[in-house]
Amino acid sequence: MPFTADLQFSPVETVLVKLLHERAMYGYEIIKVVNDRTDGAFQWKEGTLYPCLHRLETAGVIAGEWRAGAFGKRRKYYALTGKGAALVQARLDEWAAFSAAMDALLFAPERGHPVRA
Amino acid sequence: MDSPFTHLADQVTDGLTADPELRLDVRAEILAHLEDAAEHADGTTPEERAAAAIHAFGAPVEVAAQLLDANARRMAWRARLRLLTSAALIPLAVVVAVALVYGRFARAQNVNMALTGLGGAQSAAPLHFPELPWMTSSYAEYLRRQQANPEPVDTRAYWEKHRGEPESAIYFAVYACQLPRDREDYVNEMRVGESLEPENALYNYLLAGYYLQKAMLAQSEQVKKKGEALRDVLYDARLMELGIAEYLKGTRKPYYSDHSLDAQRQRVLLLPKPVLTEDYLFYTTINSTIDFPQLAAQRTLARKIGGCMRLLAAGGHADEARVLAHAWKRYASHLTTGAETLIHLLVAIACANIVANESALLYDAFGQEGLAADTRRALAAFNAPKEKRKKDMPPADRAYIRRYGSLLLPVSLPAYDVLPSVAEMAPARHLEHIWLETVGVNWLLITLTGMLLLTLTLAAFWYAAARRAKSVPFLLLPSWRALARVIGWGVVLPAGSYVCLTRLPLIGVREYNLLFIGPLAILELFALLWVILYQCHRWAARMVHDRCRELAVAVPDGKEERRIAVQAGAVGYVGFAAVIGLAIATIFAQAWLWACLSLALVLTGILYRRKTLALRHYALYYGTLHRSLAPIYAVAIILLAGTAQPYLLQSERQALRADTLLTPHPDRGEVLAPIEARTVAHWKQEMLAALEDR
Repeated sequence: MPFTADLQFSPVETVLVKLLHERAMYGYEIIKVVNDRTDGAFQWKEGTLYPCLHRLETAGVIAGEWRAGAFGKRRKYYALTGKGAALVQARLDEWAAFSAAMDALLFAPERGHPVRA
Repeated sequence: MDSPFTHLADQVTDGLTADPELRLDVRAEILAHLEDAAEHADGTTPEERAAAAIHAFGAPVEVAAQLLDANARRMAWRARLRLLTSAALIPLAVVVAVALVYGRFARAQNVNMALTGLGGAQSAAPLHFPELPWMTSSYAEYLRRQQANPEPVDTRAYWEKHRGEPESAIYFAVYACQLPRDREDYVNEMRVGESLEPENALYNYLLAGYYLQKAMLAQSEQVKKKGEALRDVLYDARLMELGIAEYLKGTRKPYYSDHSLDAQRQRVLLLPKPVLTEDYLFYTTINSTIDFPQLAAQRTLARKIGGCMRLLAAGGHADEARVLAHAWKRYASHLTTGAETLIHLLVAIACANIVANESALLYDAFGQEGLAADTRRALAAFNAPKEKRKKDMPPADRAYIRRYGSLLLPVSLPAYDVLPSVAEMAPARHLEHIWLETVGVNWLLITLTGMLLLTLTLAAFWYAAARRAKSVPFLLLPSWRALARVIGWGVVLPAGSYVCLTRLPLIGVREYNLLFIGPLAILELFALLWVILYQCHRWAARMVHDRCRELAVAVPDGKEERRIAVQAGAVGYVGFAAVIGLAIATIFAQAWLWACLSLALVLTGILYRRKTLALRHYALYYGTLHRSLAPIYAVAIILLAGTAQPYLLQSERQALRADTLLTPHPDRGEVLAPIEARTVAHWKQEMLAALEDR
């Protein structure tokens, strides 16, 4: 299965598509969710997140909208567009295949070389 | 007051300067992010937390480069969209509005000029007539109504050119009617005409007039002085004899036609095909501007024939006088049969009355009372159709016309004893309504164009003020949803409501009768114009205001904004009024008015500039508002021009095609308004029947 070039270098877009499929979020919230869910294993930086969000927005996968939050603070929320929603499953499938391939590559026993006792 | 993150946000978005709106958007997003980060950062004071958030953000140069890379594509297409809006959409809207409005204005101006040309008055400027290779300069000037008639030499040259064609007799008849009687070759030319149409009495009557003009002066041609009896004067008995012979020769011929309507039919074929109401009005108007020198000649001839009868009787030539008297019916019959327009028919009646009354007086003088009574009876029957129309229209008929007819119909309905049906009158009535609406839409288009230009001018003022505040107003690129909301509330909803109210039977289909609902229709159009202008501005201003708040651009609060709007709006509209006044002053060439209005405009500009400088902290918002309003007006103009105009034009064409009363259709060979042709046919039938009965 051929993978997108981005996936081979960074899973950020796939993660963003999955998270925004759950609900609309603003930038800082996304960083917090990622950090929380990975127990701090992923420490996303603004330089990682915003360019990716803008790329997805330009591609029409997500759309940003300014909204007032709980205390009236205005933030830019991102949500999946129709095009983005159609993409979610494909991206998850792609990631599962990529992950399986990586597992096979990294953790399967080596072939062609007998295992020495 | 600047936040501790302003510098960082500016650095990070530095690469997006080419797209001010996008840069402000990203900057606001980064600021909100940093504020959130600072809230959750470690530290005991806000400054420490802010410093921690800034530290955690990473290298700004790197982030700036990544943001530029991520947004490069978006910036490129947004730049193209802005260029398209500024360089194509706005000029297109202005061109469309001006072209449509000027198109109708120029057509109306043609009608005005043709009307000015009535009675031989000079037109102010040439009309848009086609220049054809055969046209001599005087003929072209004639067509443009710059001179009353073409030179006879040109008309004859035209006949020569078309000599072999079946219509050539028409051209020669026109030439013969225009030919001045002092021409040496007059008799020869009339003989040429007679050889072309041996059975047409036209040339004989023209020749009779020619001879009798030189031969005698009838008493009815003279002005009576106090205490002086009028007498017929004989100058040349031989010429009178020749004149009488030509007259009698003419009365014995099968028909009489001056071909004026045939010529007019040929003439209007040179015009562009009429399409809109003004074209048809122009078409009808130029038909009304034709001169008929032959009609004046016929009246003079009739008076002279009366004089000849008296002179013959006084000279002892009773038999010759009786022959002349007996010929009146043939003469009246010729003129009536040959009449195709109302003016011809009225002249036929006048001439027939002159010769018939003189004949009756002659019979009285000869003691032939029976013949005299017969003549008077026949004349009364002949006059009956016209006499009937001297009476007032019955009130019921008048009410019927008012109820179901168009405004123009009573003017164009001389034969009101033959009332058209309701169905026949409907298209013209509908047409008037459509025409009024078209004027309303054109007015709206030109007002929106004025607003567009005004808002661009105001944007320039705010731009200058914003530069001093070190910011740049930008053209906002709204989302399709926001744009649809403005256009929907501003244009589609008001115009749609009007259309539903006037067109949909289920809601309130309009009875198209300007006499009854004209003032209401005008009020409705005024209201529509006001609602469209108000709604467009309101919704567009709301959209820009909200967006500017999102982008952290300083915007005045509601109360302050209203105060500024009233002050700036008043100054702006004074300037707009001055511009409109200048245009009017230019049209009427009033130098003093022009000077006053120019001064008013300059003062308005100075006032507005002072105001914008005083409010420069809001200049970015106001500059963006005015800059962004222009495309909204442009879209409204194009939308109206692309929907209302074609609909109204189509309806107008349909109504014009369906109208069988007022609109002449050249493709059906009609030159006169059909109602006039119908009237003429009806009168002729009655008048000829009166002549045959006796």
